[in-house]
Amino acid sequence: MANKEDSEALGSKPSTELLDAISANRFGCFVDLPRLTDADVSVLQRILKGTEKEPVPLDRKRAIAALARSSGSPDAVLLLSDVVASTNESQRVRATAARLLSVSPPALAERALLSNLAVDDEAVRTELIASLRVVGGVDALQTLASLADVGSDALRRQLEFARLMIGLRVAPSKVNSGRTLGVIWEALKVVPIDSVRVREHLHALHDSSYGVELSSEVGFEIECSGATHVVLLNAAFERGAFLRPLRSGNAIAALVVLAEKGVAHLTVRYVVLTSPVADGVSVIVARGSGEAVYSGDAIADGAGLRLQLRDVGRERVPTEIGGMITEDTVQLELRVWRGAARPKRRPLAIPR
Amino acid sequence: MANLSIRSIANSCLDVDPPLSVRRDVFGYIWGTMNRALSVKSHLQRIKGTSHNLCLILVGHENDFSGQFDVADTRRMQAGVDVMRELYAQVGIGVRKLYWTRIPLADANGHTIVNAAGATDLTEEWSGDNDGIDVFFVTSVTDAGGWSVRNGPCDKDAQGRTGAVLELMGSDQVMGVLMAHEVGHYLGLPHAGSLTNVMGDDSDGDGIGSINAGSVDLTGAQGNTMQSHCSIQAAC
Repeated sequence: MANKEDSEALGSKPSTELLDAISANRFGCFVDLPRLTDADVSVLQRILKGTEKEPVPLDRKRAIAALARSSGSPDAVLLLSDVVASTNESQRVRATAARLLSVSPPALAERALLSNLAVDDEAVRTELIASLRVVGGVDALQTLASLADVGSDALRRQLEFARLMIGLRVAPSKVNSGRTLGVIWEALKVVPIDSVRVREHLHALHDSSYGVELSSEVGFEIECSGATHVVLLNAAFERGAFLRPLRSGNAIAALVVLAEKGVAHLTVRYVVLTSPVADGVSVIVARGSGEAVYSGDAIADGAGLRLQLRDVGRERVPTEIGGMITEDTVQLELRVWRGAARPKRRPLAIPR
Repeated sequence: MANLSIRSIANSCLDVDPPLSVRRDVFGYIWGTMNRALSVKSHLQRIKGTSHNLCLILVGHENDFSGQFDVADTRRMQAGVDVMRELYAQVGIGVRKLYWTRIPLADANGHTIVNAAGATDLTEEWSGDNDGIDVFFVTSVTDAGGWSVRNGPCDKDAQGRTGAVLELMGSDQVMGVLMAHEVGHYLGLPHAGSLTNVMGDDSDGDGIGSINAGSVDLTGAQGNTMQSHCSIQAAC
């Protein structure tokens, strides 16, 4: 309930919209968060400064959110900055105020954010840096560049991202987005092998070939993570007529076998399954467990098919496979992710 | 002789405190009794010295034994560890902590029976804590008794095979020799060219070393190689 006397004494009365926006007990369900009127903003600033009595039990996080979205005035920004700095406020409120400064006018917000960067609360500091990412300029870039030993991985990542995004605004030629974000791809060598080498691999195959007669003429070797994978084609693929079997029906087009260093025998790791579609061929690479690991298409392109596959499902290392297939040649390209890998699954502890 | 108090070693080397079951908490043998004599004194000496830990991962196991392994199977794994401990003691390497874990049958995803490629798939998808070498027990390995990688990584997020994969086979003694052999590869050892050596003989050059119950020797040079692996932990 509003304190009618106090509000009236200060010349304006909190509106229903203001009370809905700041109450700890009343919640409106707003599709668009409403902006408060200038009169309500004035009342709210006095409430937050403590110069006006709280008209209802106050949710301070909601109150500062209402202020931030309703006013970008120097007073409002200063008030938000004071909230960030105040150790009397909860971490939740301080961190929210830090984040909300990002919707204030950039120049004002940048000064407020930089003035608070020395706070010793990591959650608050993370939000300050996240906001600088959005509104920071030259001053922010210089300050963030000098920050070292910032704490957790999450904070370090946020800091690097902030430097990158500000850099893109103020000095775009000096940033490398891929390197900063850990986007690292490595092209692997896919080496066509001659018939002698293909026959050696066929001889060493110590596994079922799924009933497929394998070509003794055409194959490829791919070096990856200390092991060699060998692509052995279905014998239906003959040089001079590589495309016909792909277009004529569903097929086990190839087996991909694992050749480990120091081990003479080979085992099948993947099967390559193809199906004709309207403008080319659908391609799926599956494990023996039945899990699809790579999927894509070979689409008509001039006299051949242009191959484009991506990893799917739980494969830990993102991988792109491309290439070109014509009647006379099969050319493969493979790129693997060298940034942070997806986490492994952990087994369950057995009770003692 | 160094102090071999069970309590102090349990605390400083195994991070466990009283009340203690010596078999369960000090040896790590959670599957009940075995037909093997256990020497507490020898065990304490071994785990107090330079040692490594094992993450033992039962693929397709259910706690009520309704999965791939029954009680006798788990006791054979346990006895295998005890045999392996004796074999590694020859070169001054203890097997300190045993982390027994499981992959439920529903999540095993066809990995209960594997070949070399399947062993790679299994260890690329699953791993135990970095604190120990992963040893996966599967129902069957179709093209060897087990697979490992030579000089395996201590960071389980590394690509490629990051553990040893074994099938449950033979007697307790054979199980232990196989485990010592595959973990030996992980610790950096190649095949030895001798059937009496833990690392066996690969005279046919197929990359698969032959071993049997009598493949029990380890040399000082092999011990030095093992001692230099990143998974070996200092005396405690």
